[in-house]
Amino acid sequence: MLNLIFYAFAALTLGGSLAVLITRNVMYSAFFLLLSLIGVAALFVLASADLLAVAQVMIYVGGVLVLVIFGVMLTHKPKPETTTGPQAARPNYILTQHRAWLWPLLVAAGLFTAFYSLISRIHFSLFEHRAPFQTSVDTIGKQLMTEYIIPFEIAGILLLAALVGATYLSSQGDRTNNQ
Amino acid sequence: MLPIILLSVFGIVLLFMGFLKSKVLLLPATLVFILAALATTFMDWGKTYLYFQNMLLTNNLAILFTTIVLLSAFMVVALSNSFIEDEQAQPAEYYALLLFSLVGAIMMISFENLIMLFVGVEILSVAMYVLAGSDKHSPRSNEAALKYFLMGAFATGIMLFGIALLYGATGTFVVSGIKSYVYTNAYGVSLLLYMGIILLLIGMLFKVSAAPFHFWTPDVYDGTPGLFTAFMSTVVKTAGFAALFRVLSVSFVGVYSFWWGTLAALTCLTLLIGNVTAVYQTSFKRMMAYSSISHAGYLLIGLTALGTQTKQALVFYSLAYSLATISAFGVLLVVSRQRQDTNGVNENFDAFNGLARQNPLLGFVMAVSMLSLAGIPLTAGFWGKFMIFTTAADKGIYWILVFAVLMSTVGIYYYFRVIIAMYFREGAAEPVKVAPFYRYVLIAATILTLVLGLAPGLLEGLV
Amino acid sequence: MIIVETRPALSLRIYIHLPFTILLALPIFLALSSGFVVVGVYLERKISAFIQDRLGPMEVGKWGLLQLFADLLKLLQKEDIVPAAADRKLFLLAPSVIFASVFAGFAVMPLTPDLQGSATAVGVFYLMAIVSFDVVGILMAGWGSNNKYSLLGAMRSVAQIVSYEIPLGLTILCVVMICQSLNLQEISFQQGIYTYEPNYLFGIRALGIDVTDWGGIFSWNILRNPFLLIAYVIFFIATLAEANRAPFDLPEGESEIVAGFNTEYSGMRFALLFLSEYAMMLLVAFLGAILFLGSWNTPLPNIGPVRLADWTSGSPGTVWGNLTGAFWLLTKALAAIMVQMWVRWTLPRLRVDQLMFLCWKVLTPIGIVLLLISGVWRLLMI
Repeated sequence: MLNLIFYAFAALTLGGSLAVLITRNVMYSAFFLLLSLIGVAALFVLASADLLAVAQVMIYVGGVLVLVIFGVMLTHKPKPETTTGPQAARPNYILTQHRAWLWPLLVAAGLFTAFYSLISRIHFSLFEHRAPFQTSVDTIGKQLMTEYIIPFEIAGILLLAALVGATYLSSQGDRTNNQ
Repeated sequence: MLPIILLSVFGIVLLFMGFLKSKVLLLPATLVFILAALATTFMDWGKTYLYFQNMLLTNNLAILFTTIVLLSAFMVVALSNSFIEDEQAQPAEYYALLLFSLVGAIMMISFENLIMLFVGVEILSVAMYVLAGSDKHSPRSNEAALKYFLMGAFATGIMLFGIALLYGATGTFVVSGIKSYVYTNAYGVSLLLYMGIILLLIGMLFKVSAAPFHFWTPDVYDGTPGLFTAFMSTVVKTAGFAALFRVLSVSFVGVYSFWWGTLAALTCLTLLIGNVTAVYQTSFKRMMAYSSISHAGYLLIGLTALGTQTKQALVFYSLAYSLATISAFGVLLVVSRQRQDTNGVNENFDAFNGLARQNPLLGFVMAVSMLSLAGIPLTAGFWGKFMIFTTAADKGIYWILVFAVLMSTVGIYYYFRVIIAMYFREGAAEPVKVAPFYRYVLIAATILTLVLGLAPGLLEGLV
Repeated sequence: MIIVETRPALSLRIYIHLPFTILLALPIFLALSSGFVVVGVYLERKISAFIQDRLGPMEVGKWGLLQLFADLLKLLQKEDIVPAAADRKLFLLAPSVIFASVFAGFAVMPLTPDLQGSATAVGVFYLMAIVSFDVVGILMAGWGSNNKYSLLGAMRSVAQIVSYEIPLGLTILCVVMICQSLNLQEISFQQGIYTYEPNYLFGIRALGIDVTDWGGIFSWNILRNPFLLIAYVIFFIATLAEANRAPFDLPEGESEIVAGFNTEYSGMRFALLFLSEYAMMLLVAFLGAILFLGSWNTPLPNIGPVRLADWTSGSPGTVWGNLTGAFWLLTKALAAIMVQMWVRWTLPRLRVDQLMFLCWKVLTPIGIVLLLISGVWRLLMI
């Protein structure tokens, strides 16, 4: 039963990723990415990392994916040839021009072989310890507040720097606004 | 580890000081803050401490690297008086970001846990992405920021992947924990470890702009406002090499035979690309970008020939390089701003034409810094190169030594182009005006370069 | 010490009921959220009529009670139109995505002490993720319609939902800090007479007044930390924005952009979007009741020998306990929805800049201060 669920979500992840690559419509790629991200989140749950799974949905679907979609929306779109008549009434497509497949295929195949041989040969020390499902919230919370308190706090400085930088770069630093 | 906390707090204080109408206080305040951090750094001198549950480790080496970084930052900030006059600039934000990036740099220098390395690299990089694009109205600056961001994000991703694999192999993020793993499993080290080392190295080499991961460097250095280029090429590089040294000399010294060949090849490639390409540049700033690549190559020699002398050589070389680079950029900044051509600031070699006649001081500062970068005796750069080459000789890697000496003769060619332009060409008649404080900083950097060149033993025995 | 001993017992009980509750909770919530539309729309019309001094629907059935069925019949008969220039796949899929994402939120809602879809330990966090999931569906609808009003509406909706997640998250964090749990059922248990930890008046242990036995309103979170009352107000405002309800209905502002992201939808697909809007209202009303207003616990306290709390809430595991639990939770949620409707028909729509001002310069700073206070308050509680 558990295996079945695992394979279903693994298939979802892989299928989503494949569809991202195969479709020419960039917007579809963005939405297929959603499937793949949800699949990964589900796999996290099966790996007993529930907090990580929800964080995955929150950060990637709620944050990154929305940014990606906005990015696609802001992409320059060639004007349709006709503005009137039946030809004008066509959906909002943003298509990729990139149709080369040989090199990507070679690179992907090479990477796949490398990773496959790597993963099949290494020894995972945690593999033998089959733990029953348990929530990771308490552990993560305690670790973040004790052992990893400094990285946790310093990440605040990182975010602050990013925030200051973002506001600085996007602010209208013109003379007209400065008075 | 007070400097990390102090600099974080000071950065926030500076942001609040940005609310003030007057910008006059910002520059001296920043200088005082950096000095305060520098003073607290030395509180741990002579001792080895682990801080915050094995997150950071301070020892004399870390303190020396921190000193170099803070000193470079101090001089860069001291050269930044132009912000006060520029009404578009927002110095509070710049200085705050600089202080934050110093937090990141210190973390990169004294990390004990790879998580701290990652967070440190991120803080430093994020601040630098913004500062690279701080000239918002210049397309070149925007391009530099975007390129740096994309490349840097990619490199960080690779590095993070490497750290994850290292964790998978060893079950720990702690540098010394990885070391003990390598020693206890000397014959059956997990493949993941090798993969992790490679990816971590790629990420870090990206940050220090070593070939073949250097291709972002010329455009980014060229487009970034000069002051921040100086910061980037000194602080980022020093911190990056400190981090590389730490991780290689502690964690991976047990598998030296695995990585040294790769690193040696990359070293030669970096030296070759940096030096040869620099010859063809017409822009001084681009030349400095390639020169910084080539200096990354020299520093890499020290890592390739990892031995007892390496840390001393790295510290000395970083210091000599930082001093020379900052004084070179200091002169460039003031000259390019006052000798503008039709395209705005003139950062080409011809901006320096006849500089020595109108401004003997600036000419001398520039000449000393070029000589130091080229590695001419009586300057700090010579002893830096000497020490680096000694490490290679000690290890018996003579071919890399020969190659490096060959490349440094190429270097002499392009560094001397500036000197020739300053001393033997006719240029603009009116002298360049230099603010007094600006002049003192340049003089101090030059004197330090000369003193280290005359008495290289000053730093001996500190690490 | 007490916490350590009792938590395993709680989780054990949840595990025993797990297969049963999942099977039961799903149809119940499906029926609840779709059935709520029937009640909700009628309520909305009648309340708006009352506020505007009208009668509202009166023709179909007694007091217009059957009006909604007439509406549904109309929507069912309508043609399912897909505009010629729309991106057909996205356009058709979007309403389902929106509804699915809202409905997924009910998976972790405790309806009674025993009835809960999934007793996951990350319930609250999951709900916040679900709220942000909604955005993707809205963007899908806006882009797929290929209509400038739809796209504008979708953009506004996304900007609003993403921004208001910050104060929302801050206020939820306040509760989580007080309760020390992300599990909604555990948060519920803490706010009544069946709690495993002693409750003190206003949460201050130093006062020495043990209200564990009083129960009722005294053990609700808004009284365990009185500042959570302010937090609830912020929570309520933020959820209005999350649900795209007036006065934050810019995404579908009729007077500006026709109907926002659902301009092009008709027939049953429009009904599905409508359904998700009401389901979202119900979801956030539930969440507010669970986090702040004592969940399925009775508001009536035990006063000396008058055991009002004991009489009005059965012990967990019994049928009476489940019935009273569901009754109180639904009552609280419906009350919150009434307020939502009241707000809708009394306040005018905000401008975009006012919307952002309210979020970033008013609600977020207050939320951060409340978070700090909650942290201190938690120290007073133990």
